[in-house]
Amino acid sequence: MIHDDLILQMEQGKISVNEALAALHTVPILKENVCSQRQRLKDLQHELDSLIGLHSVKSMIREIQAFAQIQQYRASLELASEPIVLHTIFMGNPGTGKTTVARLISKMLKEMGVLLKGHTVEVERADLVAEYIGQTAQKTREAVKRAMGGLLFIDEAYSLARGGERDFGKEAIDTLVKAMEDNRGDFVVVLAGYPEPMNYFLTSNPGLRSRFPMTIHFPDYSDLELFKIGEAMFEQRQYSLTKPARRKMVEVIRQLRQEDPYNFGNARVIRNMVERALRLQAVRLVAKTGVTKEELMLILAEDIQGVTDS
Amino acid sequence: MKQILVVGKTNVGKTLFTLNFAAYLGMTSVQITFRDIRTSHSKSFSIQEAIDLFVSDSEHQTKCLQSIILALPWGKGTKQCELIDSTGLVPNIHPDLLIRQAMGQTLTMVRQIRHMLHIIDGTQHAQIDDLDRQLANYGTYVTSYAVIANKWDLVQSSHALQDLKKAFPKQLVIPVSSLHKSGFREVRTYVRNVL
Ligand SMILES: Nc1nc2c(ncn2[C@@H]2O[C@H](COP(=O)(O)OP(=O)(O)OP(=O)(O)O)[C@@H](O)[C@H]2O)c(=O)[nH]1
Ligand SMILES: [Mg+2]
Repeated sequence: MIHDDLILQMEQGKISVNEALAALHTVPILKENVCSQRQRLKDLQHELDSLIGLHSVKSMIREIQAFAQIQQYRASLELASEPIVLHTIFMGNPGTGKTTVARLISKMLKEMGVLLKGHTVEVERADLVAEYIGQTAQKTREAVKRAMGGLLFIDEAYSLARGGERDFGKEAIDTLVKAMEDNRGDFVVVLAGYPEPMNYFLTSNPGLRSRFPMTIHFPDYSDLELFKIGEAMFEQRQYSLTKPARRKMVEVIRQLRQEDPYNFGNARVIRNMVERALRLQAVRLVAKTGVTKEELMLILAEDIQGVTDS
Repeated sequence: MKQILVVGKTNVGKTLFTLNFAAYLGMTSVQITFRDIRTSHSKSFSIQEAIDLFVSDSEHQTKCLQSIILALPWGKGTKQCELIDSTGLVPNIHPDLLIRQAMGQTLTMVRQIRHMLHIIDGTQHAQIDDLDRQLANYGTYVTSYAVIANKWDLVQSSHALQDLKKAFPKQLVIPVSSLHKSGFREVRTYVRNVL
Protein backbone atom coordinates (compact mmCIF):
# COMPACT_ATOMS: atom_id res chain seq x y z
CA MET A 1 0.00 0.00 0.00
CA ILE A 2 1.14 3.42 -0.86
CA HIS A 3 1.61 4.84 2.64
CA ASP A 4 3.66 1.86 3.83
CA ASP A 5 5.79 2.46 0.79
CA LEU A 6 6.50 6.03 1.76
CA ILE A 7 7.48 5.05 5.27
CA LEU A 8 9.73 2.37 3.87
CA GLN A 9 11.40 4.89 1.61
CA MET A 10 12.01 7.08 4.62
CA GLU A 11 13.50 4.15 6.51
CA GLN A 12 15.74 3.36 3.57
CA GLY A 13 17.03 6.91 3.70
CA LYS A 14 15.65 7.86 0.30
CA ILE A 15 13.40 10.61 1.56
CA SER A 16 13.33 12.70 4.70
CA VAL A 17 10.71 12.50 7.43
CA ASN A 18 9.39 15.82 6.20
CA GLU A 19 8.95 14.57 2.67
CA ALA A 20 7.35 11.39 3.92
CA LEU A 21 4.92 13.33 6.06
CA ALA A 22 4.06 15.70 3.26
CA ALA A 23 3.42 12.85 0.86
CA LEU A 24 1.57 10.78 3.42
CA HIS A 25 -0.61 13.75 3.92
CA THR A 26 -1.91 13.52 0.40
CA VAL A 27 -3.12 10.02 1.27
CA PRO A 28 -5.31 10.74 4.25
CA ILE A 29 -6.34 7.35 5.51
CA LEU A 30 -7.20 8.54 8.94
CA LYS A 31 -10.36 10.48 8.53
CA GLU A 32 -12.51 7.51 7.90
CA ASN A 33 -12.49 4.13 6.34
CA VAL A 34 -14.52 5.36 3.42
CA CYS A 35 -11.92 7.94 2.71
CA SER A 36 -9.10 5.42 2.62
CA GLN A 37 -11.23 3.09 0.54
CA ARG A 38 -11.84 5.77 -2.01
CA GLN A 39 -8.16 6.58 -2.05
CA ARG A 40 -7.17 2.96 -2.52
CA LEU A 41 -9.66 2.65 -5.32
CA LYS A 42 -8.15 5.70 -6.93
CA ASP A 43 -4.69 4.18 -6.59
CA LEU A 44 -5.84 0.99 -8.26
CA GLN A 45 -7.56 2.98 -10.99
CA HIS A 46 -4.30 4.77 -11.50
CA GLU A 47 -2.46 1.48 -11.67
CA LEU A 48 -4.92 0.26 -14.26
CA ASP A 49 -4.58 3.44 -16.29
CA SER A 50 -0.83 3.12 -16.23
CA LEU A 51 -1.01 -0.23 -17.98
CA ILE A 52 -0.11 0.41 -21.57
CA GLY A 53 -2.77 -0.09 -24.21
CA LEU A 54 -5.75 -2.23 -23.13
CA HIS A 55 -8.25 0.51 -23.93
CA SER A 56 -11.24 -1.78 -24.24
CA VAL A 57 -10.34 -3.38 -20.92
CA LYS A 58 -10.19 -0.05 -19.21
CA SER A 59 -13.53 1.15 -20.44
CA MET A 60 -15.13 -2.16 -19.54
CA ILE A 61 -13.84 -1.84 -16.00
CA ARG A 62 -15.23 1.68 -15.77
CA GLU A 63 -18.60 0.25 -16.73
CA ILE A 64 -18.40 -2.48 -14.12
CA GLN A 65 -17.42 0.06 -11.53
CA ALA A 66 -20.21 2.43 -12.43
CA PHE A 67 -22.73 -0.39 -12.47
CA ALA A 68 -21.62 -1.70 -9.09
CA GLN A 69 -21.83 1.76 -7.58
CA ILE A 70 -25.24 2.54 -8.99
CA GLN A 71 -26.65 -0.80 -7.94
CA GLN A 72 -25.37 -0.29 -4.42
CA TYR A 73 -26.81 3.19 -4.35
CA ARG A 74 -30.17 1.91 -5.59
CA ALA A 75 -30.12 -0.81 -2.96
CA SER A 76 -29.44 1.80 -0.27
CA LEU A 77 -32.57 3.67 -1.38
CA GLU A 78 -34.47 0.40 -1.37
CA LEU A 79 -34.95 0.42 -5.12
CA ALA A 80 -34.84 -2.91 -6.88
CA SER A 81 -31.22 -3.61 -7.62
CA GLU A 82 -29.87 -5.88 -10.26
CA PRO A 83 -27.56 -8.51 -8.75
CA ILE A 84 -24.06 -7.87 -9.96
CA VAL A 85 -22.96 -10.83 -12.02
CA LEU A 86 -19.36 -10.24 -12.83
CA HIS A 87 -18.20 -13.59 -14.14
CA THR A 88 -16.17 -12.75 -17.17
CA ILE A 89 -14.40 -14.29 -20.11
CA PHE A 90 -10.92 -12.97 -20.84
CA MET A 91 -9.90 -13.64 -24.40
CA GLY A 92 -6.41 -12.96 -25.53
CA ASN A 93 -3.05 -14.37 -26.34
CA PRO A 94 -0.55 -15.08 -23.59
CA GLY A 95 1.30 -12.04 -22.32
CA THR A 96 -1.47 -9.59 -23.11
CA GLY A 97 -2.06 -8.66 -19.49
CA LYS A 98 -4.94 -10.98 -18.53
CA THR A 99 -3.58 -12.05 -15.15
CA THR A 100 -2.44 -8.56 -14.24
CA VAL A 101 -5.85 -7.16 -15.02
CA ALA A 102 -7.63 -9.96 -13.15
CA ARG A 103 -5.65 -9.23 -10.00
CA LEU A 104 -6.37 -5.54 -10.28
CA ILE A 105 -10.07 -6.07 -10.86
CA SER A 106 -10.34 -8.27 -7.81
CA LYS A 107 -8.70 -5.64 -5.63
CA MET A 108 -10.88 -2.91 -7.10
CA LEU A 109 -14.05 -4.90 -6.48
CA LYS A 110 -13.00 -5.21 -2.88
CA GLU A 111 -12.62 -1.47 -2.53
CA MET A 112 -16.00 -1.00 -4.18
CA GLY A 113 -17.49 -3.25 -1.57
CA VAL A 114 -18.48 -5.93 -4.08
CA LEU A 115 -16.03 -8.56 -2.92
CA LEU A 116 -15.01 -9.22 0.65
CA LYS A 117 -11.34 -10.00 0.23
CA GLY A 118 -10.15 -9.03 -3.23
CA HIS A 119 -7.57 -11.73 -3.73
CA THR A 120 -7.04 -13.80 -6.85
CA VAL A 121 -6.68 -17.57 -7.01
CA GLU A 122 -5.07 -18.66 -10.25
CA VAL A 123 -5.78 -22.20 -11.35
CA GLU A 124 -5.54 -24.36 -14.43
CA ARG A 125 -6.90 -27.74 -15.36
CA ALA A 126 -4.56 -29.69 -13.09
CA ASP A 127 -5.76 -27.75 -10.06
CA LEU A 128 -9.39 -28.64 -10.67
CA VAL A 129 -9.37 -32.06 -12.26
CA ALA A 130 -8.26 -35.15 -10.35
CA GLU A 131 -7.04 -38.43 -11.71
CA TYR A 132 -9.60 -40.63 -10.06
CA ILE A 133 -13.32 -40.73 -10.14
CA GLY A 134 -15.12 -38.68 -7.52
CA GLN A 135 -12.13 -36.55 -6.58
CA THR A 136 -12.58 -33.85 -9.14
CA ALA A 137 -15.66 -32.33 -7.55
CA GLN A 138 -13.78 -32.15 -4.28
CA LYS A 139 -10.75 -30.56 -5.88
CA THR A 140 -12.85 -27.97 -7.68
CA ARG A 141 -14.83 -27.17 -4.57
CA GLU A 142 -11.60 -26.58 -2.71
CA ALA A 143 -10.38 -24.16 -5.35
CA VAL A 144 -13.71 -22.33 -5.16
CA LYS A 145 -13.43 -22.21 -1.41
CA ARG A 146 -10.01 -20.62 -1.61
CA ALA A 147 -11.37 -18.04 -4.02
CA MET A 148 -14.33 -17.07 -1.82
CA GLY A 149 -14.42 -13.31 -1.40
CA GLY A 150 -12.09 -12.92 -4.36
CA LEU A 151 -11.58 -13.98 -7.92
CA LEU A 152 -11.05 -17.44 -9.38
CA PHE A 153 -8.93 -17.16 -12.48
CA ILE A 154 -9.06 -20.27 -14.63
CA ASP A 155 -6.35 -20.17 -17.23
CA GLU A 156 -6.86 -22.01 -20.50
CA ALA A 157 -10.34 -22.87 -19.30
CA TYR A 158 -11.13 -24.85 -22.46
CA SER A 159 -8.67 -27.51 -21.42
CA LEU A 160 -11.42 -28.62 -19.02
CA ALA A 161 -13.27 -29.95 -22.05
CA ARG A 162 -10.21 -31.53 -23.51
CA GLY A 163 -10.98 -35.17 -22.88
CA GLY A 164 -14.53 -35.19 -24.21
CA GLU A 165 -17.66 -36.51 -22.49
CA ARG A 166 -16.02 -39.10 -20.29
CA ASP A 167 -13.27 -36.87 -19.02
CA PHE A 168 -13.38 -35.59 -15.43
CA GLY A 169 -13.06 -32.06 -16.79
CA LYS A 170 -16.79 -32.18 -17.36
CA GLU A 171 -17.27 -32.88 -13.66
CA ALA A 172 -15.12 -29.84 -12.84
CA ILE A 173 -17.28 -27.63 -15.05
CA ASP A 174 -20.49 -28.92 -13.47
CA THR A 175 -19.13 -28.42 -9.97
CA LEU A 176 -18.01 -24.94 -10.84
CA VAL A 177 -21.41 -24.01 -12.27
CA LYS A 178 -23.12 -25.32 -9.19
CA ALA A 179 -20.77 -23.37 -6.93
CA MET A 180 -21.51 -20.23 -8.93
CA GLU A 181 -25.24 -20.79 -8.35
CA ASP A 182 -24.83 -21.53 -4.66
CA ASN A 183 -22.51 -18.64 -3.89
CA ARG A 184 -23.88 -15.87 -6.03
CA GLY A 185 -22.00 -12.65 -5.55
CA ASP A 186 -19.46 -14.14 -3.17
CA PHE A 187 -16.78 -14.67 -5.75
CA VAL A 188 -16.03 -13.89 -9.35
CA VAL A 189 -14.97 -16.43 -11.94
CA VAL A 190 -12.78 -15.47 -14.86
CA LEU A 191 -12.25 -17.93 -17.69
CA ALA A 192 -9.17 -17.03 -19.62
CA GLY A 193 -7.49 -18.25 -22.76
CA TYR A 194 -6.77 -17.93 -26.46
CA PRO A 195 -9.74 -16.59 -28.43
CA GLU A 196 -10.39 -19.49 -30.84
CA PRO A 197 -10.46 -22.46 -28.50
CA MET A 198 -12.36 -20.32 -26.00
CA ASN A 199 -15.10 -19.57 -28.52
CA TYR A 200 -15.36 -23.22 -29.38
CA PHE A 201 -15.48 -24.19 -25.71
CA LEU A 202 -18.28 -21.74 -24.97
CA THR A 203 -20.42 -22.72 -27.92
CA SER A 204 -20.15 -26.35 -26.92
CA ASN A 205 -21.13 -25.50 -23.32
CA PRO A 206 -24.12 -23.18 -23.69
CA GLY A 207 -24.93 -23.50 -19.98
CA LEU A 208 -21.60 -21.98 -19.20
CA ARG A 209 -21.83 -19.24 -21.77
CA SER A 210 -25.01 -17.83 -20.24
CA ARG A 211 -23.38 -17.50 -16.86
CA PHE A 212 -20.62 -15.25 -18.15
CA PRO A 213 -22.34 -12.05 -19.15
CA MET A 214 -19.17 -10.24 -20.04
CA THR A 215 -16.29 -10.84 -22.37
CA ILE A 216 -13.17 -8.77 -22.39
CA HIS A 217 -10.87 -8.96 -25.36
CA PHE A 218 -7.20 -8.49 -24.76
CA PRO A 219 -5.82 -7.38 -28.08
CA ASP A 220 -2.24 -8.08 -28.98
CA TYR A 221 -0.07 -5.09 -28.34
CA SER A 222 0.74 -2.85 -31.27
CA ASP A 223 4.38 -2.17 -32.14
CA LEU A 224 4.18 1.22 -30.52
CA GLU A 225 2.64 -0.19 -27.35
CA LEU A 226 5.32 -2.82 -27.16
CA PHE A 227 7.94 -0.16 -27.58
CA LYS A 228 6.42 1.84 -24.71
CA ILE A 229 6.30 -1.24 -22.52
CA GLY A 230 9.94 -1.94 -23.26
CA GLU A 231 10.92 1.63 -22.56
CA ALA A 232 9.08 1.55 -19.25
CA MET A 233 10.89 -1.67 -18.35
CA PHE A 234 14.25 -0.03 -18.97
CA GLU A 235 13.24 2.96 -16.92
CA GLN A 236 12.08 0.82 -14.03
CA ARG A 237 15.51 -0.71 -13.97
CA GLN A 238 17.17 2.72 -14.09
CA TYR A 239 18.45 2.48 -17.61
CA SER A 240 17.78 4.84 -20.46
CA LEU A 241 17.96 4.53 -24.21
CA THR A 242 19.90 6.73 -26.58
CA LYS A 243 17.99 8.06 -29.56
CA PRO A 244 19.55 5.57 -31.97
CA ALA A 245 18.77 2.81 -29.46
CA ARG A 246 15.13 3.86 -29.48
CA ARG A 247 15.02 3.75 -33.25
CA LYS A 248 16.71 0.39 -33.19
CA MET A 249 14.21 -0.96 -30.73
CA VAL A 250 11.26 0.00 -32.92
CA GLU A 251 13.03 -1.63 -35.83
CA VAL A 252 13.69 -4.83 -33.90
CA ILE A 253 10.09 -5.05 -32.73
CA ARG A 254 8.89 -4.77 -36.33
CA GLN A 255 11.37 -7.34 -37.48
CA LEU A 256 10.42 -9.83 -34.75
CA ARG A 257 6.76 -9.45 -35.50
CA GLN A 258 7.37 -10.08 -39.17
CA GLU A 259 9.27 -13.22 -38.37
CA ASP A 260 6.56 -14.65 -36.15
CA PRO A 261 3.34 -12.67 -36.52
CA TYR A 262 1.18 -15.22 -34.76
CA ASN A 263 3.02 -15.42 -31.46
CA PHE A 264 4.66 -12.10 -31.25
CA GLY A 265 2.29 -9.54 -29.82
CA ASN A 266 3.02 -9.96 -26.16
CA ALA A 267 4.89 -8.35 -23.35
CA ARG A 268 6.88 -11.41 -22.46
CA VAL A 269 8.89 -11.19 -25.65
CA ILE A 270 9.66 -7.60 -24.75
CA ARG A 271 10.76 -8.52 -21.24
CA ASN A 272 13.18 -11.07 -22.65
CA MET A 273 14.41 -8.51 -25.09
CA VAL A 274 15.01 -5.93 -22.37
CA GLU A 275 16.83 -8.38 -20.18
CA ARG A 276 19.00 -9.58 -23.03
CA ALA A 277 19.89 -5.97 -23.86
CA LEU A 278 20.98 -5.39 -20.27
CA ARG A 279 23.28 -8.38 -20.45
CA LEU A 280 24.71 -7.22 -23.74
CA GLN A 281 25.35 -3.79 -22.30
CA ALA A 282 27.16 -5.45 -19.41
CA VAL A 283 29.32 -7.45 -21.77
CA ARG A 284 30.17 -4.27 -23.64
CA LEU A 285 31.09 -2.37 -20.46
CA VAL A 286 32.91 -5.06 -18.56
CA ALA A 287 35.75 -4.98 -21.05
CA LYS A 288 36.16 -1.26 -20.53
CA THR A 289 38.09 0.57 -17.80
CA GLY A 290 36.83 3.66 -16.01
CA VAL A 291 33.15 3.21 -16.73
CA THR A 292 31.09 6.26 -15.72
CA LYS A 293 27.74 6.29 -13.96
CA GLU A 294 26.21 7.64 -17.14
CA GLU A 295 27.56 4.78 -19.18
CA LEU A 296 26.18 2.32 -16.66
CA MET A 297 22.74 3.73 -17.28
CA LEU A 298 22.85 4.06 -21.03
CA ILE A 299 21.65 1.48 -23.53
CA LEU A 300 23.09 1.92 -27.02
CA ALA A 301 21.71 0.84 -30.36
CA GLU A 302 24.25 -1.97 -30.54
CA ASP A 303 22.92 -3.46 -27.29
CA ILE A 304 19.48 -3.57 -28.84
CA GLN A 305 20.73 -4.83 -32.18
CA GLY A 306 22.35 -7.78 -30.42
CA VAL A 307 19.12 -9.17 -29.05
CA THR A 308 18.12 -10.59 -32.41
CA ASP A 309 21.26 -12.71 -32.60
CA SER A 310 20.81 -16.07 -31.09
CA MET B 1 -8.56 0.77 25.72
CA LYS B 2 -8.13 4.22 24.18
CA GLN B 3 -4.64 5.01 22.98
CA ILE B 4 -3.03 8.43 22.93
CA LEU B 5 0.16 8.94 20.97
CA VAL B 6 2.80 11.36 22.23
CA VAL B 7 4.64 12.57 19.17
CA GLY B 8 7.02 15.35 18.22
CA LYS B 9 10.55 16.24 17.29
CA THR B 10 13.44 14.75 19.17
CA ASN B 11 14.44 16.23 22.52
CA VAL B 12 11.32 18.33 23.02
CA GLY B 13 10.54 16.47 26.22
CA LYS B 14 8.09 13.73 25.19
CA THR B 15 9.42 11.20 27.62
CA LEU B 16 9.57 13.55 30.58
CA PHE B 17 6.07 14.75 29.74
CA THR B 18 4.75 11.18 29.64
CA LEU B 19 6.33 10.17 32.92
CA ASN B 20 5.64 13.34 34.86
CA PHE B 21 2.05 13.43 33.66
CA ALA B 22 1.66 9.97 35.17
CA ALA B 23 3.22 11.31 38.36
CA TYR B 24 0.81 14.26 38.28
CA LEU B 25 -2.08 11.78 38.17
CA GLY B 26 -0.75 10.35 41.42
CA MET B 27 1.10 7.35 40.05
CA THR B 28 4.41 6.54 41.69
CA SER B 29 5.49 3.69 39.44
CA VAL B 30 4.83 2.78 35.84
CA GLN B 31 4.84 -0.41 33.84
CA ILE B 32 6.57 0.53 30.58
CA THR B 33 5.97 -1.59 27.50
CA PHE B 34 8.71 -1.28 24.92
CA ARG B 35 7.59 -2.12 21.42
CA ASP B 36 10.03 -2.13 18.54
CA ILE B 37 9.47 -3.48 15.07
CA ARG B 38 9.80 -7.11 16.02
CA THR B 39 9.43 -7.54 19.74
CA SER B 40 7.88 -6.12 22.82
CA HIS B 41 8.63 -6.47 26.48
CA SER B 42 7.60 -4.63 29.58
CA LYS B 43 9.12 -3.75 32.87
CA SER B 44 8.05 -1.67 35.82
CA PHE B 45 9.95 1.27 37.23
CA SER B 46 9.43 3.89 39.85
CA ILE B 47 8.79 7.15 38.04
CA GLN B 48 12.04 8.63 39.28
CA GLU B 49 13.96 5.58 38.03
CA ALA B 50 12.29 5.87 34.64
CA ILE B 51 13.14 9.55 34.40
CA ASP B 52 16.75 8.86 35.25
CA LEU B 53 16.94 6.13 32.66
CA PHE B 54 14.90 7.46 29.76
CA VAL B 55 15.00 11.24 29.87
CA SER B 56 18.14 12.77 28.53
CA ASP B 57 19.57 15.81 26.89
CA SER B 58 20.91 13.78 23.97
CA GLU B 59 18.78 13.33 20.88
CA HIS B 60 16.98 10.07 20.20
CA GLN B 61 17.05 8.81 23.71
CA THR B 62 13.79 7.04 22.92
CA LYS B 63 14.20 4.49 20.12
CA CYS B 64 10.95 2.58 20.11
CA LEU B 65 7.39 2.95 21.27
CA GLN B 66 7.26 3.11 25.06
CA SER B 67 3.79 3.01 26.46
CA ILE B 68 2.35 3.25 29.92
CA ILE B 69 -1.13 2.72 31.23
CA LEU B 70 -2.66 5.75 32.89
CA ALA B 71 -5.37 5.39 35.47
CA LEU B 72 -7.70 8.35 35.86
CA PRO B 73 -10.23 8.67 38.63
CA TRP B 74 -13.65 8.12 37.10
CA GLY B 75 -16.85 8.14 39.08
CA LYS B 76 -16.26 5.82 41.96
CA GLY B 77 -13.51 3.90 40.23
CA THR B 78 -10.82 4.62 37.66
CA LYS B 79 -10.65 4.51 33.91
CA GLN B 80 -7.56 3.51 31.96
CA CYS B 81 -5.92 4.63 28.77
CA GLU B 82 -2.61 3.94 27.11
CA LEU B 83 -0.16 6.80 26.66
CA ILE B 84 2.38 5.97 23.98
CA ASP B 85 5.71 7.79 23.95
CA SER B 86 7.45 7.57 20.58
CA THR B 87 10.78 8.04 18.87
CA GLY B 88 11.35 11.71 18.15
CA LEU B 89 11.32 12.90 14.57
CA VAL B 90 13.92 14.91 12.70
CA PRO B 91 13.08 16.81 9.51
CA ASN B 92 16.00 15.62 7.39
CA ILE B 93 17.30 12.19 6.43
CA HIS B 94 18.86 10.71 9.54
CA PRO B 95 22.17 8.88 8.90
CA ASP B 96 21.40 6.02 11.30
CA LEU B 97 19.28 3.22 9.86
CA LEU B 98 18.01 2.14 13.28
CA ILE B 99 16.80 5.64 14.06
CA ARG B 100 15.14 5.87 10.67
CA GLN B 101 13.35 2.60 11.29
CA ALA B 102 12.28 3.79 14.72
CA MET B 103 10.96 6.99 13.17
CA GLY B 104 9.15 4.83 10.63
CA GLN B 105 7.44 3.15 13.54
CA THR B 106 6.37 6.57 14.83
CA LEU B 107 4.99 7.52 11.41
CA THR B 108 3.08 4.28 11.15
CA MET B 109 1.58 5.06 14.52
CA VAL B 110 0.72 8.59 13.39
CA ARG B 111 -1.23 7.02 10.54
CA GLN B 112 -3.21 4.75 12.83
CA ILE B 113 -3.78 6.62 16.01
CA ARG B 114 -7.01 8.43 16.85
CA HIS B 115 -5.74 10.60 19.66
CA MET B 116 -2.56 12.55 19.37
CA LEU B 117 -0.61 14.84 21.69
CA HIS B 118 1.89 16.76 19.68
CA ILE B 119 4.73 17.98 21.87
CA ILE B 120 6.74 20.99 20.78
CA ASP B 121 9.51 22.91 22.47
CA GLY B 122 7.74 26.03 23.71
CA THR B 123 10.91 28.06 23.59
CA GLN B 124 10.77 27.71 19.80
CA HIS B 125 7.42 29.53 19.63
CA ALA B 126 8.70 32.03 17.10
CA GLN B 127 10.04 29.44 14.64
CA ILE B 128 7.54 26.67 14.03
CA ASP B 129 9.03 24.56 11.25
CA ASP B 130 7.61 22.39 8.51
CA LEU B 131 7.73 19.16 10.44
CA ASP B 132 5.59 20.57 13.24
CA ARG B 133 3.25 22.10 10.72
CA GLN B 134 2.90 18.76 8.96
CA LEU B 135 2.14 17.01 12.22
CA ALA B 136 -0.42 19.66 13.08
CA ASN B 137 -2.00 19.02 9.71
CA TYR B 138 -2.45 15.42 10.74
CA GLY B 139 -4.19 16.77 13.76
CA THR B 140 -7.10 17.70 11.54
CA TYR B 141 -7.60 14.07 10.59
CA VAL B 142 -7.56 12.45 13.99
CA THR B 143 -10.39 12.34 16.48
CA SER B 144 -8.62 14.45 19.06
CA TYR B 145 -5.44 16.41 18.99
CA ALA B 146 -3.64 19.04 21.03
CA VAL B 147 -0.34 20.86 20.78
CA ILE B 148 1.59 20.65 24.03
CA ALA B 149 4.03 23.57 24.25
CA ASN B 150 6.60 22.12 26.62
CA LYS B 151 9.49 23.67 28.54
CA TRP B 152 7.25 26.65 29.28
CA ASP B 153 9.38 27.33 32.38
CA LEU B 154 12.11 28.49 30.01
CA VAL B 155 9.91 30.74 27.91
CA GLN B 156 10.73 34.40 28.37
CA SER B 157 8.60 36.21 25.85
CA SER B 158 5.20 37.52 26.89
CA HIS B 159 3.62 36.92 23.49
CA ALA B 160 4.82 33.33 23.17
CA LEU B 161 1.35 31.89 23.55
CA GLN B 162 -0.02 34.35 21.01
CA ASP B 163 2.67 33.24 18.57
CA LEU B 164 1.66 29.64 19.01
CA LYS B 165 -2.03 30.30 18.65
CA LYS B 166 -1.26 32.06 15.43
CA ALA B 167 0.90 29.18 14.22
CA PHE B 168 -1.75 26.60 15.17
CA PRO B 169 -4.97 28.53 14.68
CA LYS B 170 -7.27 25.54 14.50
CA GLN B 171 -5.71 23.54 17.30
CA LEU B 172 -5.84 23.39 21.03
CA VAL B 173 -2.51 24.66 22.43
CA ILE B 174 -1.60 23.80 26.01
CA PRO B 175 1.55 25.34 27.52
CA VAL B 176 3.17 23.08 30.11
CA SER B 177 6.38 22.54 31.96
CA SER B 178 6.97 18.84 32.22
CA LEU B 179 9.84 19.58 34.54
CA HIS B 180 7.65 21.37 37.07
CA LYS B 181 4.46 19.46 36.23
CA SER B 182 2.69 22.74 35.58
CA GLY B 183 -0.09 23.20 33.06
CA PHE B 184 -1.04 19.54 33.48
CA ARG B 185 -4.55 20.24 34.65
CA GLU B 186 -5.61 21.14 31.11
CA VAL B 187 -3.90 18.04 29.80
CA ARG B 188 -5.90 15.97 32.24
CA THR B 189 -9.08 17.59 30.95
CA TYR B 190 -8.04 16.65 27.43
CA VAL B 191 -7.43 13.03 28.46
CA ARG B 192 -10.76 12.89 30.28
CA ASN B 193 -12.48 14.04 27.13
CA VAL B 194 -10.78 11.28 25.18
CA LEU B 195 -12.14 8.76 27.67
N1 LIG C 1 13.45 23.12 31.47
C1 LIG C 1 12.75 22.07 31.01
N2 LIG C 1 13.42 21.03 30.49
C2 LIG C 1 12.69 19.98 30.03
C3 LIG C 1 11.28 19.97 30.08
N3 LIG C 1 10.85 18.81 29.54
C4 LIG C 1 11.95 18.11 29.16
N4 LIG C 1 13.06 18.82 29.44
C5 LIG C 1 14.44 18.41 29.16
O1 LIG C 1 14.60 18.21 27.79
C6 LIG C 1 15.49 17.13 27.51
C7 LIG C 1 14.81 16.10 26.64
O2 LIG C 1 13.76 15.45 27.31
P1 LIG C 1 13.20 14.04 26.87
O3 LIG C 1 11.96 13.80 27.64
O4 LIG C 1 14.25 13.00 26.91
O5 LIG C 1 12.85 14.38 25.36
P2 LIG C 1 12.25 13.42 24.25
O6 LIG C 1 11.35 14.25 23.42
O7 LIG C 1 11.68 12.22 24.84
O8 LIG C 1 13.57 13.12 23.41
P3 LIG C 1 13.96 11.81 22.51
O9 LIG C 1 13.30 10.63 23.09
O10 LIG C 1 15.45 11.75 22.68
O11 LIG C 1 13.56 12.14 21.14
C8 LIG C 1 15.87 16.56 28.85
O12 LIG C 1 17.11 17.09 29.22
C9 LIG C 1 14.78 17.07 29.79
O13 LIG C 1 15.22 17.19 31.10
C10 LIG C 1 10.61 21.11 30.65
O14 LIG C 1 9.39 21.20 30.74
N5 LIG C 1 11.40 22.11 31.09
MG1 LIG D 1 12.14 10.28 24.65
